[in-house]
Amino acid sequence: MSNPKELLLSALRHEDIENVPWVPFAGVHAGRLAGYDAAEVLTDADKLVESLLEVNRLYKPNGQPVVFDLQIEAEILGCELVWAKDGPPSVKTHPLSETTQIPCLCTLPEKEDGRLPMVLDAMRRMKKEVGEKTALYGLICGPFTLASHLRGNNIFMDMYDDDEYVKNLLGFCLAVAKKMTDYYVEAGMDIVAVVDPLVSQVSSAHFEEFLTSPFTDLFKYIHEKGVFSSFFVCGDATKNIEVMCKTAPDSISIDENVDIIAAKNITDKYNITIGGNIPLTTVMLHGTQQDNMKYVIDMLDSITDKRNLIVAPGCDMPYAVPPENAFGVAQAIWQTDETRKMIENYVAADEGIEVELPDYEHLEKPLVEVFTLDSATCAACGYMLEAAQKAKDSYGGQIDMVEYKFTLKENIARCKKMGVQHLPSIYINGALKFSSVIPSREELKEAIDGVM
Amino acid sequence: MPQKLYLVTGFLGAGKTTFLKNLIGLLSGHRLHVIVNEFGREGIDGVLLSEVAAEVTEINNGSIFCTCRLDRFEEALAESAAKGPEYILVEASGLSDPTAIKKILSLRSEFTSIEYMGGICIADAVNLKKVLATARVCRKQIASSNLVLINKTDLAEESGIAEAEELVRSVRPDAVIRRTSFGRIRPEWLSALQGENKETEGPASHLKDVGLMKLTITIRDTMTNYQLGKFLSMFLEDTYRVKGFACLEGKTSLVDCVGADLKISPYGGKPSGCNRLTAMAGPGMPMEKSVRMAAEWYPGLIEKIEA
Repeated sequence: MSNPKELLLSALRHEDIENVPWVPFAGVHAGRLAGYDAAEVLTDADKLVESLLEVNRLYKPNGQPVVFDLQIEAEILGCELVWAKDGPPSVKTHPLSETTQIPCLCTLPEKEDGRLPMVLDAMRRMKKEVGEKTALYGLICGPFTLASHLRGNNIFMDMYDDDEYVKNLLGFCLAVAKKMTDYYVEAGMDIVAVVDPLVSQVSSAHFEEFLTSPFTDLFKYIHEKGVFSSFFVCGDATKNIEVMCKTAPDSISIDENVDIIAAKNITDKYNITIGGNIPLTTVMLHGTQQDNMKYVIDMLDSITDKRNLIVAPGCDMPYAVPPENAFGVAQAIWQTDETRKMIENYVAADEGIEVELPDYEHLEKPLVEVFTLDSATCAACGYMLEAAQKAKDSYGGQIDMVEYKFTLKENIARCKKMGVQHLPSIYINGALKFSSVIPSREELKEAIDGVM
Repeated sequence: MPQKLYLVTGFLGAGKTTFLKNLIGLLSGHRLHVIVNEFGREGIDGVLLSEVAAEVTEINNGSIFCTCRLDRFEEALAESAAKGPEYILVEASGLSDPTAIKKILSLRSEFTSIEYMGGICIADAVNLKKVLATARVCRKQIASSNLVLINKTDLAEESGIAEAEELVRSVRPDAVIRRTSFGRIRPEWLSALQGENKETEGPASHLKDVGLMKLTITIRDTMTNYQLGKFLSMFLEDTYRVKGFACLEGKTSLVDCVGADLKISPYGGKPSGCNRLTAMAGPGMPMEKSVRMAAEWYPGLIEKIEA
């Protein structure tokens, strides 16, 4: 299938598909790619769109979220936020903590409220820029998490003391979610994701008592709007997967706390697509590129029926995830067989392959070496090679340039001998100059001139 | 010198911050580093901290509910360890899963200087029953604690306090329970906490109750260690204890879980029987139902479940 978006929509329609789609949840992490902090991308549409386009260009996703911030509705409804540079804001005050009054429906978010104008603007612009080839996710705060934002942790006491109140408050939060759905669908979102991490904190009995009704209602509403729905949860929601399925979303997204292989047997029973669950910290943030490739390969190898499957991080990617780790994930999805081989060869590369490195001290002319996963498939690798190729063209015979693809065993051995950690990278005369981040023409020229 | 770490848990409103102040006071004269996951309503008094030469790192937990997002805690802990305090006090947010925090300590080399002294859970005598019934994390907090303080006893009737103690024991039969109010802690309670490895072995004295249920679960050797951990996690909270040896993927492990606390560790000796686990629960606990439900997630990998 040539259109990346169509592949994801096919997965959401539960059709047989030739490849598994990939949805990087790059919320604040998008800012990292364009040089902005978390607060900047969550408050400034220009910076947000620029960052999201970088995600789109470098990670070649089948789908991507526009904003990953569960505090947008809460802020509009009077919660004070604490901002951070490397993560989404958190809720500091809960306006309903001292009252059991249900807010008036007249307080439901309007398009002009809070950060909604910025969010809707970014959605429209993303739709225009990449909407043909990339499915866009509009993320709304789930009714239960929103209720806890408004009421604080008292909500857990209320569930014991006053179930009517909890149901009424959830009813209000459901009305908020429907409003947000209206706005996001109008702004062109293909998928409305209801993000409710707090769901993992309650038993399945309490889920059925309090949450089955509002969630079922919400997914029906989203469906009637003509778009797809997704139910995002974080934490150990294992025991709630089945009751979540019964609320009939088109898809469910889980994190590393749930065994995705076992969970897929359950979601398949309900013909619901499951997405997940690359570990955010141990693999995406702290792992190597090989760790990321291996996680995805192992996951794909363990799942026989590739229908109803989306590969995604477990939740909003940490701000500082090294981009090359996301390149590794994407590579493993697009070229599973080749990547499996890469990992095998990486382990085996120490066995008997002799690689001779150039005599970097005595080169006749500058040598630009581009190390890639495979410039034909990995988008960032392609851009890196293109940058080097342009430099080569402009310098003519004054410099040498060579690409080493990680798909070949001897190149893996070369990477190991050179100590290449991240792909793609550019080395000039044996020294690392650019890693993962594609240099501009000027930056590369400056680096080459420096050794001439 | 190892840096001693205490983990303080408890649901919001149980009195964690007040307790933490008292704990800081008790340790005055030592170099302290306090990691606070979220400020309670009261906040920590800066003057108090400067008096006892304590430093505070507040984690602005934007992804508060994502237990998977522990990187901020990891960073704060690494910074704290590098500063070389004698004591590190960690106040976990009301909704954070303490088992994940303990796991982190074993993951990174920077943390080898840290000695985990134990978890202290602050439980509200009046509200424990409610939050235990509704918030799943409460069970985990109690299950992974070595000392449970029933706080605010001045606001509760004797029968309510006794009920709270019973509830704690139903989650963790071997828990050391102390009654207190205004978050007070006695020095001898603290000094009795001597780290995970020095814990008294097992909840035997509490397991003599009439009505104790026992299940033997036989798993197939085609199960992976990862699957075993996930399988156990699905029903541990409905047990007092699960014990046995697992011989999977060419490795032998000792499974020894108390309450909801998952513990599978490499075993060097010769195991007495492989892949047969014994699970125990108290009267009224839905252990068998939970085990059978968990087995449905792993079809073909659970050979037998016998009473």
